[in-house]
Amino acid sequence: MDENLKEDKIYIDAFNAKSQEIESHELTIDQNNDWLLTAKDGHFIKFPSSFSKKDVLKGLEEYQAANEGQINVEAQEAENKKRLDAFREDSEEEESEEEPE
Amino acid sequence: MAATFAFDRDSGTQTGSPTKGTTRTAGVTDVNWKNTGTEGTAYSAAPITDGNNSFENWLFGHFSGTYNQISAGLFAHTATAFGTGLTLKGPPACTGDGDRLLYTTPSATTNAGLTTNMTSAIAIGSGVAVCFGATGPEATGKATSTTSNPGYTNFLTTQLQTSGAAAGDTAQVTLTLQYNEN
Repeated sequence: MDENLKEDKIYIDAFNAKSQEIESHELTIDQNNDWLLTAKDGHFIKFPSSFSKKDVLKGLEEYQAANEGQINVEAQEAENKKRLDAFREDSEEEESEEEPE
Repeated sequence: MAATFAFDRDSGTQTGSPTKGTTRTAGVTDVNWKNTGTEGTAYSAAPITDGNNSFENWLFGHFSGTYNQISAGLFAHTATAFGTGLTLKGPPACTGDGDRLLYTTPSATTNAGLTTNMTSAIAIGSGVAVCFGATGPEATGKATSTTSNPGYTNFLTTQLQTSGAAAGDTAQVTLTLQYNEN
């Protein structure tokens, strides 16, 4: 468990659809008595209050299976920019090498 | 010649077998998640209080016009991010009859059947698979393609869930249904 997490709270490792990573989520029960799992970035997963512990754990497995492989548009755009920037850096280096003495 | 497409929506008390809504509205242009299942109520008159969910929104695709076949359906949230404290849940992938969601009277109860997290804008290619068939979104016989005309998708149900959301309207996001026609 992350050392920064408080010991008096309950944390469960769960899939974060936005980051596409397994992350620690704080487990609480919300105002409607539903199960609420919240990650550090605010990503959350709700399950109905009728779910047992077993149902929640099964639901998390199904949640991961249903959401793995999503290609986040923001992340993809950042990755594309990074790839193009690598060529920009190369061409800038070539230009500086070609400068006459 | 080409297929004509519209998003339609069911609302109201569930009726019939397989179940569908008592009200079917054609040509909807906005989802407008709200704290009511009544079609005619403006979202501004039924705001979702933080910590609660919207009523489910039972959207579906409707094809008419001229086509031979509709196939390769994908559904996703494709543009504009939601703010903090909002999670949009959507339908599971549909590759056959057994995957389609069956209509239930809309409510704000957390819908465990909506397993897809649609909060982030994603590439349509990584959206959930959609099925097609005859008669309506509720009907049996859904498959990955259809030659029926008119044709319908399975229910593309969504629910906006909140936890720590700011007051006010959400960002206006884009939901996309991609399909092939020939």
